[in-house]
Formats: sequence, C-alpha cells, structure tokens
Amino acid sequence: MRRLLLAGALLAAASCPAAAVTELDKEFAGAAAQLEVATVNVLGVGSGEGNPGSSGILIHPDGWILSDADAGLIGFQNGPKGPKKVYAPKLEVRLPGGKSFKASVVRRNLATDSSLIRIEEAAGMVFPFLRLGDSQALRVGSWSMLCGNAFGLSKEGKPSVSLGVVAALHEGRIVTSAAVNPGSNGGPCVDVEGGLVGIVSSWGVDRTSPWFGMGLITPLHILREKYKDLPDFAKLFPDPRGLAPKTRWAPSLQEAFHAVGRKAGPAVGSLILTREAGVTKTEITKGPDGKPQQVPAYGGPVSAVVWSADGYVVTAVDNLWAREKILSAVLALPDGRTFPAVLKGRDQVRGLALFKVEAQDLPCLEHADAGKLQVGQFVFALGNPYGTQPPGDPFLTFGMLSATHQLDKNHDAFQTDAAMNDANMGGALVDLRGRLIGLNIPVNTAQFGRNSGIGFSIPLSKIEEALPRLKEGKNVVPGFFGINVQPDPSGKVVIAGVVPGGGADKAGVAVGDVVVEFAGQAIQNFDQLRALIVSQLAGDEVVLKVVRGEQELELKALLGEGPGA
Amino acid sequence: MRLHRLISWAGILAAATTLAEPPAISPEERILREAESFQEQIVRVVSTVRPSSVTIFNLVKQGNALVARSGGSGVILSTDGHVLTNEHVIKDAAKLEVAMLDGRKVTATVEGHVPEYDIALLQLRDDKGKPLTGLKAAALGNTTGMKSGDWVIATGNPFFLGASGRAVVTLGVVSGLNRIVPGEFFYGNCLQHDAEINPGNSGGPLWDDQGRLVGINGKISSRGGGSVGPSSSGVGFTIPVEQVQNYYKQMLLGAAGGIQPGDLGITVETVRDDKGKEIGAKITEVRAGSPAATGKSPLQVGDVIECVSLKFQSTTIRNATDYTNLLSLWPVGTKLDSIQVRREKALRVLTGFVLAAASKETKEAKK
Repeated sequence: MRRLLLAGALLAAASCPAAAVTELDKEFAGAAAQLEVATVNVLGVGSGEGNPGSSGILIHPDGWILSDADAGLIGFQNGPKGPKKVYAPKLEVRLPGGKSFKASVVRRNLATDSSLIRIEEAAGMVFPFLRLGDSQALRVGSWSMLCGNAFGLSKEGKPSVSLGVVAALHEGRIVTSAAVNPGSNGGPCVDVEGGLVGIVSSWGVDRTSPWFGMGLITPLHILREKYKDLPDFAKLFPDPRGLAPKTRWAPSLQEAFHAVGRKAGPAVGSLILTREAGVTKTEITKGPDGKPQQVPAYGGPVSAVVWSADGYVVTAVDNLWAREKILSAVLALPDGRTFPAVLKGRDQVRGLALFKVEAQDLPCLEHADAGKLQVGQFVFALGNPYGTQPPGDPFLTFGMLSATHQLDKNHDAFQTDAAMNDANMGGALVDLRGRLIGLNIPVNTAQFGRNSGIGFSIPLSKIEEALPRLKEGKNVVPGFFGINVQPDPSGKVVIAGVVPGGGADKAGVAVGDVVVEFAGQAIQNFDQLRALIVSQLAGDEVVLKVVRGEQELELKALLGEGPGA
Repeated sequence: MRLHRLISWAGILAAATTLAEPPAISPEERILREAESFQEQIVRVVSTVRPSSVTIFNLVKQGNALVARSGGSGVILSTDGHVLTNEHVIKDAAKLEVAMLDGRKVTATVEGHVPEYDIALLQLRDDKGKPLTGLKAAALGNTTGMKSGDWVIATGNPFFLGASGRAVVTLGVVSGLNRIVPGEFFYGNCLQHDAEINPGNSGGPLWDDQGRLVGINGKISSRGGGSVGPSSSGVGFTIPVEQVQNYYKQMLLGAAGGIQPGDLGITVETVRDDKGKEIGAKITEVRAGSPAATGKSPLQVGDVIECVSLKFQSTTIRNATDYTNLLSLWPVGTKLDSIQVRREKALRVLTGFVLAAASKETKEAKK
C-alpha cells in the first residue's frame, strides 16, 4: 500500500509542471474571454467599405465605451494648415456576434488619443464590460494582452487577441511587444488580472523613434485625468488601486520577468555617439510606388553591453553606421553615471564594436552556459535607447530561442522571436536568470521587415574570439579576393575580371580560369565561392585550385581589405 | 549498551532528517524556479515536435538544371513518410526535396491535394523511390477545444532560415477562431494566432502547449514588411487539423486535379430575431442541379438553416459564417444526416443530401 502511494506521489510530482502550464493557459484564456465579449468595433456612420474603423472597450454595463481619438474618423479635408480629420457625427458600435447600436462621442481627447463614447437607446440593456485595472502598477516585463479589430477581421465574429509584455514605460506611454495593427487602435490593453490598463493608440509609425514598429498605448491613469470633470466620472472611472490578485501562474511568471530587467538592466548602457554634422541614418524601405526607397531612420542613443567591470563595452557594429567617423562617444549607464568612451575597434565580420571607458567598477553580467542553451527556452532582449535620461528599467522584449545557426567559421547566430529594432540592437540577449546569452545584432530589414519575429544575436564565444584584436585597436574586416565572375548556366565559376592589386591578382589568378577548389572545398557555383570568400578575414591565406586550359593549378592567395575598408 | 545503540540510531535518523530538508530559498529564487519549470515544459514540447517539422524545397527547371526557386515547411503525419503542407508550397514543382532535423535531405512526391483549400499531402521517399519509414509523426490535437489566449508554438522555415532542416520556433497565443479568409486559397474555420510566421512558414505546423498538432500555417495579414516582401505583423492563419483529417483518406486515394471541396449549392445570409440575435442562415439562392435542389426534399429559397447533422454530430448554425465554416470541413461525397430548417415558421428536418463539387459561382463567391 505504501509503495503504491509512493508511486502515485512520484507521478503527481512529475506531472506538476505540465499542469502548471495548463493552468497558465486557463488564466490567459479566462482573461481573453472577458476581453473578447467587451471589445467592440466603432465605425463612423457613412464611413466607406474597407475602413476597419476603431476598436473600443465597454467599461460600464450601461453602454459606455473607451476608444481612441480617431473613433468615427471618416476622412480628411484640406484646410489652411493641411489636411484636417473629419469625423462622422453619429457612430455605429458593433458588438462581437454582430449586434449593432447607434452611439455618439461624449468627449474626444487628442492629447491622450482617446474618446469616451455612449451607446444610445440602450435603456434596459446590460452590456458586458471590463473592469478597470491599475496601470500605475505596471512594470517593464508585465504581461499586456490586447484585443481589437486587427485588419477588420472581427467583421464576422470575435476580435483578435494578442499577447506581449510591457517593453517600456516612457513619456507617459506604454510600449508593448504585443501585435498592434490597423483596426487595433482604440482597443483595450489588459494586465495580468484582466483589468483595463490602457487604450491602444497606434503602432509606432515614426521611423526615427526608438519605438518604431512597437505597439503604443495610453495608460489608463493618464487618460483618466482628462475625464475628471465629467458628471459620470466616479461611476465610470472607479479607483482601481489595491485589488488583490485572483490568479497565480501568470503573475508569478511575470514576477520572474520583472526580475530579469532588475538583474540584467544595470549592465545595459546607452552610447551617445557624435558624428560629423549633417550625417544622418537612413534605411531602405518599400516606397508608395512599391519600389525600394531610402528614408530617415532612428538616430538616437544606441544600446551597448558592459562586457567587463574594467570598462570594456560591446555594441553592434551597425550602431556605428557605415564608415562615418565617430567624433566622440559617451556611455550612459542606467545608474545615472556617464563616461567618455573611446572606440577601440570594429569587427565587420562578426558584427560587433568595442568601446573602452575609464572605470573599474562597472556592473556586468553573468554569462549563460552556451552548452546548456535549448531551442524553446525563454529569452529577453534588453536595450537602452534612453541616453542620459534612464527611466529605471531597460527596454525589454520577451520571446523564445527560435533556432541556433552555424553559418560558417566566423558566423554563428542565435535566433529569437523577441521583438528587436534599432533601439535594442547592440543590447543584450539574456535568459530567465538575467545571464548574458549574446549581443543583439540587426536583421536585414529589407528582407525580413520590422518586428517580424526574426532577430539575431552573436554568441559569447564569437565575441570572445573578436576581443583580443579589438583590444589592440585593430579592426577586423572581411577578406577581399578581388574577382569578377561571368555567369554560367552550368554553375561553373569562370573568372571574368581580376581587380589589380587584390588577393586574386597577387596570387596569379587570370581571366578565363575556372575555380574548382577554394580553401579545401570543391566549388559548385559562385554563391558557394562567395560564401567561402566572405567567411575569410583580411590577412588570411587560402589555397585555391583553378583549371586553366588543360591544366589544374594550385595557387596561394593572401586576402586583403576591400576597397572601402 | 543496547540503549546506547538505540540512541545513536536515533541520532543518525535525526541527522538524516535534517539533511533531507531542502535549504531555505528566497522568494525570488522560488519564483525563478517556478518560471524555469514552465520553460522546461515548453522546451520539452519544442524538442518533441521539432523532428516532425520539415523544410520543403520546390525545384523548377532552369535550362537543364533543377533549382530551388521557392519552398516552405511541412509536418510529418505518419511514421512512413506522409507529410502535410500547403498547395501553394508545392505548386508547379518539377521536383520536391525535403530537409529534416536529422540532416537528411530526401525527395517527396505528391500523394493527393485539395487545391482550393491549400492542402497537400506528400510522400517522402529514399533514393530508390521507396517510402521512408521510422519517422517521428506529429501527435494530433484539435482546434475545437482551443480558446483565445491559449499558448501556441509554430515551427517552420521562415525566409529559408530553416534550410538545413532545423525548424525555427516561435511562440504566441490564439488570437481568434473560426475565421474565414477568402482569396486565391479559401481558408474556412481557420485559427488566427500571434506566433510570428513569415514567408517560408507556409505548410508548417502549429502546435498546442502540449505539443499536439492543431493545424498548418498558410497565410498572414501584414501591414508592410521589407522592401522585398511581406513579413509577420503578428496575424497568422492556420488551417485546422480537423479539416485535414476529413480530407486525409481521400488524399491518400489520390485524384487527378485534386480533391474537390464539398458543396450543397446554396447561398445563405445571416438572419436575426427582432432583438438582433442571430438565429440562423437564410437561403437566398438554390442553384439548379445542385445537391440542395435535387434531393428527395429539396431546400428552398427562404428556408432558415438552424442545424446541420453529419457523421452523427449536430452543429448549430447561428449565422452564414457558421454554415460556411462547417461546409469547408467536408469533401465531395460526404453524406449529411439531416438539415433542420425553419420554413414559414414550421420546423422541418430534411434528409438525403450528399455534398457535390462546387459550381463555378460558388467558387467565385469564395474569392
């Protein structure tokens, strides 16, 4: 009997974590269910087909709704100061399930991008509604669940739910990693307890802002102030503070997320870089005509990670932009200290740059054991675009380790779905215990887009490999071979031109040669050769084989630096 | 002596008890361990499902050579090499190659497909053309038990980042259920989620938090992306596993040109009572020659469909969407047990309907 019980106890212990995740799912699904029934679609009467309108949230059973300031927007009119927004005098509010009501705006507040709407002819009706939560209790790393009519999808049913974390609390706004899309604006953001903590304003459309591509939310406590003088204020906006938590798993996971920011945040600094006058950052995007175009991009303070207490600081080499000169650099730490920083070197191959400041007591991070990392584990991208005005917590996004890539001898990368952008590149990727996993590097946004769940980090081993040369003040650049290749349908790599003075030229490569082997590998096509060339560093010596006429020749080439390096 | 011994035994026991007591941990450490136990479970799910997620290369002829022009993802459904993917991943291929987590790259042939619904079933083969065996098949789940807010995991090959066969893993929650997404490929009854999926994830699996297959990813809504193409905005659509299961047997039998979705041959609209509550799908058109028109007791314009029974299961029809969602799950040849309609206030239960291939008009209406 005793034995049986023991076996039972062991089984129960083994299945405990599984039960916990199921419980967590129930908590999120419970919050989502309350959210879905009270989230509405707000349309201006007379707005055209294809206009998804705004989302909104019922906050009182009598039919009071909070939405964004664009609620009822039906178009623009040219005025003396440019286009002016035109709003419909009457609104239509659609509830999930398709029931629709007439409504009107009681107050529209542009400063908080919010509006208060009242359903008309609702006497005797009792609407589902969401209770208010305490937005002042939110911290970086808190859950944020959103609901709304993204891309007009709720037309035939329920609105869309998305989950993320509070990535930043900055200048009176909540920045979230949860998905925000056209039509989500005006929708609710709820906290871990399912209480309303904010109204979705927009997704960051300003490319020069650190929050480009992130969801932006007006916190309830700020919005509330703008409705204080209404006669119904006390009824509609009861003080939400001091409510006891009702669920267990989601809050405890959230507490662990808060701790990540607390523990790792102090070692993620901000570099303020001064460049020559007139140098600005741009990026390639798709223009209105569908063709690629160059547009201004984020140019503020960039993220960097303290590598050692004695003043070494690493960042993504892309934070230095192309090859513009850095006139001066300042490192600002979250604890408020600032230090003049000196650029020691750039590693263009591995993707990082090293700075040095004069200090002996910088906060730095414990390292995660690379051998124990597992695809699927939780990771956090930490950034610091705040410069000398740190708000206390880092810019933090949450995701999982999506994959590990071994590209070639100099390139390994961790991939994550934690949101990354210009403001956290150069920042740290850390685990649940706040231990450093890697250095965040940018993605090719022309290919991968923004915030598309594709982010990369350089593993610590690659940083360690790069540091000795950088500390000596030497740059690391890709090897330059100096050939042009004639396209050949069979895949044969036929040399069409040799750059005078380049590695190939000095090795004796001639036009018409067919490259058959490079650095010990048989060559099938040009893409493969190119990958092999860029995997070498300037200064590396390689052996290659070419076929010239009937002859196969073995040549030795010393790779140089490219023309622009 | 004896007493002494006893006491010393007691002493040892007491010592052992003290040692066995866990060292006191701080509240912060307790929280961390709890979070890590969640993480471990997710990691376990990921390591269980990743071997069943494959990368597909669609090779086309270029001169005399075959080149991989496009591709996507897939999921292993059976130990002997059935792989599920999207029609749009395998379309117009001269050859299909599949890369797996263990590093193997093998060929695949199309067993059967449902072109309109973007579903295709492949057979993996060794270099002699024989079906592969001993593979890790996905455990099947369902979408009917899922709710918004449930955690989901997507695996696949976004932007060819899983070209080696090592699937890329992303995490999200269910955003909505029973969505209809029309277009070149019609997605009925599909699941919407915010796990990031991108070009290349197509045909790849979506898993629940226990590692069971809930469907295959195929479409996204994107607000932009890069200059090259669209990318994830956290709105992805998944073909439900139920639909795949219903078409599985027919796909195994194969059919030239693919399996046709089942259709009744009617057009419906949502009807509401005077309080605005949805009460059914009202027939606005019955196409001549369709199953609806030719049965023993044909459907009529004006009938309000309230319930459809098939395979011993009744489904309440509250609106036009419910009707479209239900029909999208079933192939040609499916026999309906009965349709309950309200005709001029009288309730009728009609029988004898067998789903046929959709007419051109019906197909057009779905786009």
